[in-house]
Amino acid sequence: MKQKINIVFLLLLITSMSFAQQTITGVVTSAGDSQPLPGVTILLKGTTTGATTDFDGNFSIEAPSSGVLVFSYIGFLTQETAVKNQRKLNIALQEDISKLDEVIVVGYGTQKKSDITGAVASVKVSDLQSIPSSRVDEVLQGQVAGVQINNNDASPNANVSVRIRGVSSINGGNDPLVVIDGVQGNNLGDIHPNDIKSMEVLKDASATAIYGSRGASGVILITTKKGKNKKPELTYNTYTTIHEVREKLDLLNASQYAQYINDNRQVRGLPLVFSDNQIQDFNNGGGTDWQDKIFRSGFSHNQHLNISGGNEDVIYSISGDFLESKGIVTGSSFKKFSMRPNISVNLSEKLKVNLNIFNSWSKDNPTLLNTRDRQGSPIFASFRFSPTKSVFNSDGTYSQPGGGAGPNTEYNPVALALEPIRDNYSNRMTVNPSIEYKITNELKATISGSYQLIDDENGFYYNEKIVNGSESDREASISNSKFIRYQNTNILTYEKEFNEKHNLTLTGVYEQQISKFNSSFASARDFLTNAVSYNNLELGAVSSPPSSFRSEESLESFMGRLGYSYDGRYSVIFTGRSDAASVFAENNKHAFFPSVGVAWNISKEKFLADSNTINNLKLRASYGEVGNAAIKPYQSLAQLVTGSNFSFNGGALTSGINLSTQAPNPDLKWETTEQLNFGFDLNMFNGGLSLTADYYKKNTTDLLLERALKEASGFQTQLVNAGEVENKGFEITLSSKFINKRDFKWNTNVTFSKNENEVLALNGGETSIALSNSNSNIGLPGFNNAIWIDVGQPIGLIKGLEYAGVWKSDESILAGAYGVAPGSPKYIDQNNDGIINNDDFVNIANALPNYTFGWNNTFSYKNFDLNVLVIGVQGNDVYNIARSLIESQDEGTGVNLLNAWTPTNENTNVPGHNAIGDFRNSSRWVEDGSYIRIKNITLGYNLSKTWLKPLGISSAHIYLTGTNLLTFTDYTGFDPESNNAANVNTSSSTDSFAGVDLASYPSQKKYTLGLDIKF
Amino acid sequence: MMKINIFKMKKAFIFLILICASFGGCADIELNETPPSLLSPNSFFTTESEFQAALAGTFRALYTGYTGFDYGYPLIMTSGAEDVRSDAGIFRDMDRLSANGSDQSVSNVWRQLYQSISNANTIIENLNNAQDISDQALGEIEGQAKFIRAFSYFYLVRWFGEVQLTTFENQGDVENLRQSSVAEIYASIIKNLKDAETKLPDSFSDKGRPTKGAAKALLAKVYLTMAGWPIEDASNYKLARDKAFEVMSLGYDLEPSFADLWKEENKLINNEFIFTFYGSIASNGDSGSHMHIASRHWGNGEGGWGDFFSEDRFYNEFPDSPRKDATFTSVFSDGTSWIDAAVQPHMAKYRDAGETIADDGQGFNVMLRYADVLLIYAEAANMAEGSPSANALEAINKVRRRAMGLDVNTPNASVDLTSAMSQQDFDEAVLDERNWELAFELNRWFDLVRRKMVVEVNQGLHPNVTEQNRLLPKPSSQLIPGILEQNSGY
Repeated sequence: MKQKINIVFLLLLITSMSFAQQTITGVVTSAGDSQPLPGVTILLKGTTTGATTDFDGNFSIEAPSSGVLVFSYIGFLTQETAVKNQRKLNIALQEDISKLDEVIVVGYGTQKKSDITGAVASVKVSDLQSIPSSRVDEVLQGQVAGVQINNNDASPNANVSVRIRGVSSINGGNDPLVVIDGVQGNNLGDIHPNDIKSMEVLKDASATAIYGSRGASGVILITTKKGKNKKPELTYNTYTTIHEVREKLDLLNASQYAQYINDNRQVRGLPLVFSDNQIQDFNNGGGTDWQDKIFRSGFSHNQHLNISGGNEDVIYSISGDFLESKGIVTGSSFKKFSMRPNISVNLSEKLKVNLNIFNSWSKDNPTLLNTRDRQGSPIFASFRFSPTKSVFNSDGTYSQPGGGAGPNTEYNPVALALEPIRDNYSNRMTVNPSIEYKITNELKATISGSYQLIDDENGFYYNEKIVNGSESDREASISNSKFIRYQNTNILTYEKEFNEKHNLTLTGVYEQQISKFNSSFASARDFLTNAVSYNNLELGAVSSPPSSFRSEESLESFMGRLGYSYDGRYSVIFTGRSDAASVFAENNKHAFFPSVGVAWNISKEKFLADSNTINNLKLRASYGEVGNAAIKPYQSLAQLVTGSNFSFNGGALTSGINLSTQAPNPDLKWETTEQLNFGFDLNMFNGGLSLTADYYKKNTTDLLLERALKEASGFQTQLVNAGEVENKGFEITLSSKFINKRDFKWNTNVTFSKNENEVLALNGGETSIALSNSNSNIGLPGFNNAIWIDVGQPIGLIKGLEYAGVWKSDESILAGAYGVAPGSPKYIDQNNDGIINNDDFVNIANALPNYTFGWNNTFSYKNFDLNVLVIGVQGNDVYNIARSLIESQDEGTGVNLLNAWTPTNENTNVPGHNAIGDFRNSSRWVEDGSYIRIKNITLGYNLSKTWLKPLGISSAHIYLTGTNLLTFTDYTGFDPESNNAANVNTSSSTDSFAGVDLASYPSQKKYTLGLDIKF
Repeated sequence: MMKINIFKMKKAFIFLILICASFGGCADIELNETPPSLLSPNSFFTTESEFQAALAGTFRALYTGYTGFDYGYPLIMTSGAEDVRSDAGIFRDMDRLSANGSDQSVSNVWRQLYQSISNANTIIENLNNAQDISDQALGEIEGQAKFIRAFSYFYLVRWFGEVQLTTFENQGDVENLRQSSVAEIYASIIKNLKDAETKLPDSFSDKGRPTKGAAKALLAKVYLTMAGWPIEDASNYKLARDKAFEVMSLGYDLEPSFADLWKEENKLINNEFIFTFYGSIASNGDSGSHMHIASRHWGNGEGGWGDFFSEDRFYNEFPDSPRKDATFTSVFSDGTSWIDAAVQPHMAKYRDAGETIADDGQGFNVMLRYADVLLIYAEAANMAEGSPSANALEAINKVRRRAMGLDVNTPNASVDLTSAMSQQDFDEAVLDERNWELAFELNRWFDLVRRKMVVEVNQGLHPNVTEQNRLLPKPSSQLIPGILEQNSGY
């Protein structure tokens, strides 16, 4: 009997044991959005039994009921679950907020986030993608501390400037280096936010020194989407926007203008221009509001489609994008079509081949800005052309200037907006093949080549209607330019872990770049017909000699990086780069840039490792040198200028050359920026609060300066390395998942940047330099010597006379001592020498801001979400010289003129009708450009899955956005962001002439409806 | 185990070789710059066509981009005299004799004059490198370069007084080049013109090039100016008289009708122009003239800019004559007189610019003409000899006869001056005649300065005028303490 029971027990035991090994199935999802997670690794703890989840997150694994299953997935916190009695497990993995194991893209490689010693800001790409725009530079505003985005003009194909940690260079350019998938020198405006997989902004020397003579203004690294090992996924993003002018200028209407002109002529003893009848007509609604005539509602829409997917061997992501925009100034529009196919093939376990391609075709019909006269800007004309004129004369021709009111050289704004044809075509292409070869487990080689092409063709046609002229006024021109860039980058990376505690990474890079540029220009005039516009230059009876230009430049670099980390707690990184550039002058062809950075992961120390409040605390420090080589080719050489033609007989021109007005400089070299950075990153409450703060000090020496030479030499300028500029400041990024309940979430993100800019020294003990004469004339006569570089002051310094109002009648004797009568502007005679001249110039404006901030809030309630972005800039001055024309006594159009000084209207700051000396550099034109703006408000709704599933749609998000709805500012021009002096059309020049507003494209309020669908 | 290692190493080796090959293959980076499109001064200035191109560039600096004699800045710089007036914002201060160092005209013209000088210096220095150019052609190039250098310095010294005298050697170091005295500058001008008058031919097929006659005429004017303020060396009157006499035997003549002088169709064929800048509309008006539109009234059908005009007191004191009718635009295109239009009388001499493209025209700016030479002779002879000689009288009377529309060579008692005049009366008569004959031709201001009449003529209208107004302010941006100083009073 006992034996029988034993056997039964044994049998039971065996059976129970065999039954104990059961099949556990289940689904793994992401706790945050309940999406299934494919590729999750499941391990039976203590064994080598494992499985992975499939596309839909399903898994199946054999495990005993005593077993423990460990679920791990990159970016998520590892979770352990005991099997016990369960056969079906639904696991929700929590996102790893601190993402310490995440791999971040850095220059020429990747680094584990915990090892990073530099100030690297990973941009929350999803935040960018929630703002409707087809350009990533537009949506970066307010998102990253230390990065200031400025819309220099708000036109459809706008010029947006990006500045990282202040402005260090005056002539060398301050644009950060943009690297897309390893290819340098791209344009941020070409990248669609929805194509971006990750984006890093490199701010300090430890991160940027490896870019050597190109890294001084910071680096923006972008990795585009490449596809995943998944079934094909189709994503469609679309939006439609309506634009309205945000603020018009305050100008006189026709009757006010007519009355004002009459008053002016009367005081000056000239005949009145307008009769009482005419003024009566204007009172009854005659005349024209030119701003209304050239501004309209703008419209734009964007269609973006992406197909991505792949299998184990091949992954792909193909995007197509179409943007069409009609600007708010009549006659302006922009159209662009682009494609971005990326494909990646694993030829073997060790060899991977990638091909990234970008193509775009665009057509721009721009509105001219900042130009005067017959081929000038309609916006400029709209505040100069007399409001008493109608758009058309009775015979149907455009009304013309003159007639006693309004300047003779500014033409009909409607004509200037509609009649000239400007067709600017641009084809861009980037082809980037690369090979990644894993030589051994530790040693990896990457060889990449790229070809970039920017091919522009601009056609221009000017007909006779604007000046009411004849065939001889017709002009046409075609301008072609081609820019080609080859880059070859060869990287060897060695990564090894020793004894589980020591981690060593060695990187060696050899890179070469060649750029070629050529352009040609042909024009003719006196066309017998308008019918073919610029498409047949032969029809022009008079042709100008065509011109052409060609240039080349090259760069050869060697770089190395050594990174060492101990136990994930301490890390140090050394980098060094040597550059040889053709643009450097003969005496200084080679440059070397080193850097060192250290980091301490305090949160991994024993005393904090188990803390539940502090998830991550890291201290960082770095120091290094970076350079700025943005000088154009041949600037160090002595040159002759061609085309100085002269006629010795009133007929044919003799081809002439003369000495270039720029003197040569055989010592010309790059600018060097030394940067010191201290920072810390803190994550608490598992995402409840995270804080990153950095303090930095950048000293830029050997600034490229165009020094004004004394003209008696025949030269006017020379490019020299002179002077030192310091930028120091701090950046704070604070973000918090303030409320994180199931149904209601509130995330907030604040960025704050304060930068102090100061010129520390100029060459040879000088304390003050006027920027060269030809450039210091910022587009208006009388405004010479406005822009200065002074020791002890920031860049963007404007000097002029101090305006003290108007001489009153009881001051007539004193006024007479200065050679003027009451009613003329009164300037402070700083040195009391009885003469108002350049010796009385003081600092009147500083264009750079004191601080900037951005505050982004995202609320979500069930399926609704609301995003509000507020940005602010404080402390920048704008030199509104457009007002000097708007308020000019004899022909201005501004409402301030109604308050012009007269003997009976003495209490005013607007000079009178007979004023002498009003057209001068002075603080009268300086305005505070500080502003706080509610940049974006987006209300969105996630359509419910029950409706979408039958359509095959996996998710859909519909939203409504308002942009620039509210701006708080004291600035009276179109927009405090506008930044464009005349003769300035490259973003490198906008900093030296920062803050000058002559006639910009008005900013807009935008209303957008958008839809994002995933199939 | 070994097998695998070797295999691994072999693969690594092959790959490293491939990488190095690609390094080597692509390593043809060229670091030295050789601009494909640009010319270098180090290899230029050898052939004749290169020198001719450099000469064109040198003249161009004085006539380009609304900054030189193509537009009104030089004329505005003489608006301290009665003939020119402007009320435009950027010109008004100069006209009211209260200009300052940041004056627009002053800054621009200074720069252009020196640009021309530095290019002329470069040509003259490089003549040694000439290859395969005949002596005669080389001399002509040298003569033209020296003429235009003297011409530029003559304007600089008359407007600004002490300025820096640059040569090819020292123009690279102007920060340390002290301003020269007026006497030194005049010495240089005279040297240049004496060289030029031997090397230049009697005429060129291109009428815009300076000839032997132009060099002599300019030299005569230089001597006459040196007889006045600030040099005030009366021995120069004799030199001026003799040099003017040399010009008078070169075959120039007064144009019978004063009005014909200002017609574009005559600009190349008249016998009176000695040195003129010609505007051209070729190549889209690249080197066009700009005086025609600037000097026209903005209203009454004239369609101009009204940038500058004349003074009513000048008009009112101007003797009635065919010359006056051709000098002033007193009635505008729509028939309104200047009085009824309540503006000033406008200049007529620049109206005709032939064919125009936009604002560029085929106008002409005459810098030296025969009537000027005759009057130089008359003034210099009178001052040198103590009383007007027969030649001096005949010289001025020719001008007076032509002004009245009479035959130049036939004596006419109603207009001629007689030997009964005293030296002083005759002198005043010559100065008045110069004022009327050469109105708006950059003359009167310089006459007022050298004869110390600036205050006397202006104090009624501009009570702030002082002797210091004889010189214009140098551009403030160009001053170098201890090296180039501002003129007193500014």
